[in-house]
Amino acid sequence: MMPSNGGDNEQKLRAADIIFEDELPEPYRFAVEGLTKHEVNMLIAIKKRLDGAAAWHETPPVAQEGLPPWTTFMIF
Amino acid sequence: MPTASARLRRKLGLASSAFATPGRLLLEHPRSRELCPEYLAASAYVTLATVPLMEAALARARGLVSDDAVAVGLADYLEVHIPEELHGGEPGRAALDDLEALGVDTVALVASPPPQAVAALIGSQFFWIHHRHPIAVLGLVALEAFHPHAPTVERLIETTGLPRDGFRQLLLHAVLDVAHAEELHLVIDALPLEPEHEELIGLSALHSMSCLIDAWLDVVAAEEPVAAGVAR
Repeated sequence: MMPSNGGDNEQKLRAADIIFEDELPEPYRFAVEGLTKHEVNMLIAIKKRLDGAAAWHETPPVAQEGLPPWTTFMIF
Repeated sequence: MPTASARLRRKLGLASSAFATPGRLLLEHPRSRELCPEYLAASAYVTLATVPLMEAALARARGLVSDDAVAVGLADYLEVHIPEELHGGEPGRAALDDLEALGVDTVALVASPPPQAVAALIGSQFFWIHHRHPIAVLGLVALEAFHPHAPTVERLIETTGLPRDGFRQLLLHAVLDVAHAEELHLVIDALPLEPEHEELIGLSALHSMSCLIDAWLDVVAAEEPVAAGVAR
């Protein structure tokens, strides 16, 4: 089950920060170790879309107290 | 050596904060009450398509079983999981009932084409199922790990002031999908997956996340969002 606890999530968010804040080759390669080119391209596409959304949003979203980092309202 | 499900969780973990961003934007949005039905309607198309996608994957897997051990295991899993997703009713009906409680015209919703990003998600699944391998569908099913979180749904109800009946399925799946996600990880680890299978599942999952992020951001980060069946 993922993500289900705070410790795990903190580690994942740190990893996500590397992906989303740095596009320099070395840290990026570190973060995506084991991923395929297609998967990396997908993550880059996600980042670009979020950058576009951030331009609209005056205050960047922050984790709200008491809420998990995966705030989805989705039924599969 | 990490298991296949651990490798998948690690991949999805890289995108989990991004996957959460649209939901947080909705919670914080000054027009959250107005946008919430539209936000939920956008992803409802995926809810409606999930069982047909799994049925397509099951049919394709059954056609491969004579010489494909992964297809055998996938078929076994889907034969059990599809009835669980139906909850004894028409696929997606309960989700539509919730949307109706929020004022969404679900007849118009169902009759209208889905948002482009959602169509890309669903169409890609069908392509992978029929032209790569039906195991691709597990990438979509794996997103059950990002199930609704009951206290967060309660906060959304409070923030929007919308009727509680519009959130019944979200609250139900906050419980159900915990077990579903755990079950899927056991299935993935039991299948004799080759690297190409794992790659396809990972690509399917990340692509689905990307499409959903697009669809949700089109609602919460657009000046004039539009969606079928939603009165503005």
